[in-house]
Amino acid sequence: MKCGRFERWMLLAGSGELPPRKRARLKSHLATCPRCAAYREDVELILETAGRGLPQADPGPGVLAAVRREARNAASRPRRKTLAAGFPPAMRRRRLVALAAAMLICAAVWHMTARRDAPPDIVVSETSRHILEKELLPAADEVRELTIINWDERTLVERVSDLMLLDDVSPAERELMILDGFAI
Amino acid sequence: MNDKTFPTMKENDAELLNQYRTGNAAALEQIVERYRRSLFGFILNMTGNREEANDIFQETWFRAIKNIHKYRHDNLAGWLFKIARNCIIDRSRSGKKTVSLDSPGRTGASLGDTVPCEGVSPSAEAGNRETGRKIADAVAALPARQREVFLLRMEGGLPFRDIAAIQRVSINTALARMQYALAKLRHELKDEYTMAGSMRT
Repeated sequence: MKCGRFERWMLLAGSGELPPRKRARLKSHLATCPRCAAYREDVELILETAGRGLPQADPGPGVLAAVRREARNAASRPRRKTLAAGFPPAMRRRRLVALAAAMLICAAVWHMTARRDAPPDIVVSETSRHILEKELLPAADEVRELTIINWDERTLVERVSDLMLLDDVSPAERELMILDGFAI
Repeated sequence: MNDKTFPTMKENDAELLNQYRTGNAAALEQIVERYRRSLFGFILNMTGNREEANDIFQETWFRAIKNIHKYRHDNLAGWLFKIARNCIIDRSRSGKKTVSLDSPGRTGASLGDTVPCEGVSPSAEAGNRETGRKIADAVAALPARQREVFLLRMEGGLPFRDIAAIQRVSINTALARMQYALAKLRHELKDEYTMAGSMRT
């Protein structure tokens, strides 16, 4: 193995990031490689010298006072709470994924349910059209829950069962509606 | 900053952050105090200008305080140094002038001369001042990215994993930058560290 890698290992050993096994290999290499041993000594001295020699100073007292003041103000300031704020980022991500999955499942279930519950699309016969236009729709209060979509060609009726409760629909008319699929 | 203190510091940071989030402002003051020297040292050595370093130090903490409730990681030191680095970059992009340690201040003395050196006797201070100036010059002459790695390691005591994350490079790139920086310093500071070595033995 080239010495360059061991030079990096020396740096990692200095920062406490070198795993124990590699640390042992580094130690045995240093015992047999005078070049690396000299390099390590130089690096230690450079770091030590630089550590002592680099300009060290404190921030100005006014700056520290301003930071402390800001910290106090921010602590006393009311803050908005978000739903996700109480969770660590990893958990938030998991929650988002779970939420997205749940929404997808809900959408799929709704779609399937809506298709099943929807009354069948029906072709409106002249008779049924007449009943709806002339007799049922004017009684607005009673048919307010009736939803008719796409009146001209095909009609989708919601709450069809409500029609069965209407008093002003005669048995004959109801028969017609049943035939046309309105009151099933 | 000793590496062995890192886990304990992280635990303490987390505890202090929790206290601050529940309204105890004094807890954040302790955090500010804990990172005061290292953070300011990093900024000062990156900018080479005390006034600018003061501004950036303040801006760093203001940004940190503003976003502290969103912070949920367990590496406060890395986060703070990253903010400081961003502030330095923002400032350099804004075109504000950066002066070196050797630029004369109001008193005519350079910043390198006026920076206090703690725990040193007056007789040793003159010699150390000269050494300090050479070291500061050598560090300031490093390419920006190498200088950043060197100072994040030396002043911030950050592990290379965090330095790599801050610079958004691989850990091998961060290590290589440190190697280059050390090679240059080894050449520039040969007299200084040889003397330090002879004093040690």
